[in-house]
Amino acid sequence: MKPAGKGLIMLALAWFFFSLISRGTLYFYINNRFAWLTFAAVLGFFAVSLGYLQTLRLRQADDDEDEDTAAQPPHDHAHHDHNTPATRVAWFWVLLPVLLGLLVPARPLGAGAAGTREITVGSLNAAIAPGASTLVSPDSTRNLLDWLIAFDSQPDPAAFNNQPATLLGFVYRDSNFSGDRFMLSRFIVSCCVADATPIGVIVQWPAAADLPLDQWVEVSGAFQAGEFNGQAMPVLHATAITPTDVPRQPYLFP
Amino acid sequence: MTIALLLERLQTFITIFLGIFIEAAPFLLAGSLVSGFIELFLNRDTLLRFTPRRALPAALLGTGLGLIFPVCECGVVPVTRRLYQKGLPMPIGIAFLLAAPVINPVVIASTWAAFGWGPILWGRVGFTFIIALLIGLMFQRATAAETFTPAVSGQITASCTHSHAPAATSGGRIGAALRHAGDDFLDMARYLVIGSLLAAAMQTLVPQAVLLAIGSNPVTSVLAMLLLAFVLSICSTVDAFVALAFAGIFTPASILVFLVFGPMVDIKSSAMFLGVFRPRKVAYLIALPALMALLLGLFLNLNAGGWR
Repeated sequence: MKPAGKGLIMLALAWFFFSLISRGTLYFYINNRFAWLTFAAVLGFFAVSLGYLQTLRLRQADDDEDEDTAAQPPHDHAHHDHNTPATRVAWFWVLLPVLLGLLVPARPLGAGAAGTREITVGSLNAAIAPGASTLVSPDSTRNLLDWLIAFDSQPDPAAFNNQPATLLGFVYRDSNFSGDRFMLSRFIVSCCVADATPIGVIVQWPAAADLPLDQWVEVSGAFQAGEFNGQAMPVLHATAITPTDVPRQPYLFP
Repeated sequence: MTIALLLERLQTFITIFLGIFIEAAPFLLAGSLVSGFIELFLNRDTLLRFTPRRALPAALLGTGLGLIFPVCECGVVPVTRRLYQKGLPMPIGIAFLLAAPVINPVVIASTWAAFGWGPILWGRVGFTFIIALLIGLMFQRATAAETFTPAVSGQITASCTHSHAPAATSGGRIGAALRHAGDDFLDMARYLVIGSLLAAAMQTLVPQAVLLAIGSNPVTSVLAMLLLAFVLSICSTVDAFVALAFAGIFTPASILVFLVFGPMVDIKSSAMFLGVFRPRKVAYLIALPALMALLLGLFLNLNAGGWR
């Protein structure tokens, strides 16, 4: 491959990583604590592309000189190669994530992905590191993960009776659910979506069956001791459900 | 399966694939940049003046050399070859070849990012150290003539071995280092892309029940991860993120085997070994780490209570 082509691939990568930041879709893919790596990568890819594009200007200068002197064979990294048949298609592989990322509308993991994984409901078990329970937020601002951590530290579901909560998540439902129940779910992501683990609480709501799968909703209500699949756990009895857009940070980061 | 369900799966597949790539690419780029700048700015003759000749200190030095040359398993092969051409003692080069792709700051950082401080991180570094040291010592009596390909002393084919001395004519050493980094990145990124595709496909297509059956068994999980490490050929700077995808399903010891064996030997590095070593030695360099990693995984799974 010519240095110009390699330079353009590097520019494309820089542009792709930049677009993740500028379009706000980066957190559909990775934990926010690694966002700085994406910023650094934009700069790195850009610098490397400049390294390649620099040769274009210099090649011209070299050629001019060579005509006069022809002293030494020009040795540039770019023109002896590396051009085995395998490396000739290397650009396709590298451009594949760029093309998919720019052409396919970005969407965070949802109910479909939750259905193929083991969902952690009611209590956390091994889903997140122990000791996190000391970090639980005050009741009024607790998110789904905070509540599950709280449930973990208190074996009696009745201890949460009548505690009010307002929670954000997407609707998940499968054949185990009766018409007046659904699961309010979110994914927790510790590194990138490859390790995404769905968590959720059971919500009691008369018109649960009318809520479309995957719809993001804000649920207000209060917990009452209940059970799901024979397991005792607090169930959120909803008093109001408002459909919302997909939040900017769809996953929870433990 | 309905069309809608199929599209849903496809979307999940793409999201997971991109997630792995976006998380991993900055690490691969960092490794490539370091290797590019080493290539142009480090004087190997100075380094060789300080290398011990006796086997044990030499092998020990080799295992730690990755801290100075932070290269992944692709970059390590041409660097090793060049060091051997300058008369490096045998055990240093072998230990360096096997250990440097793990025992270096970039890989330790990415393993930490994926798994945090814990048994996976120190187990990876510790067992890599032991295996590389042992194999380095085993090679101490091997002579250069029986170990290296005839091509190693002359002009070599496997990878980027040309002199970079005339880089001055192509516009500054920094530009040349950046281009070297870019070439390294482009060469290796496809292994990352293919590895991410396979990992994402496995997560979305293979039923969890099948994976759980293979991955929870103390013997099959180790064999499967050994094979997977060899086949996937993922760069060691990013393999921790791919391993993370298996972490909930496969036994922890099998994840460790993946992270220890994969950087030492895989399809692409085996091919590159053939450009340096005679086929017989390449066979040793594949079989010895595989055997040691296999024994390690089986021992941890069968005797150390699943090792968590």
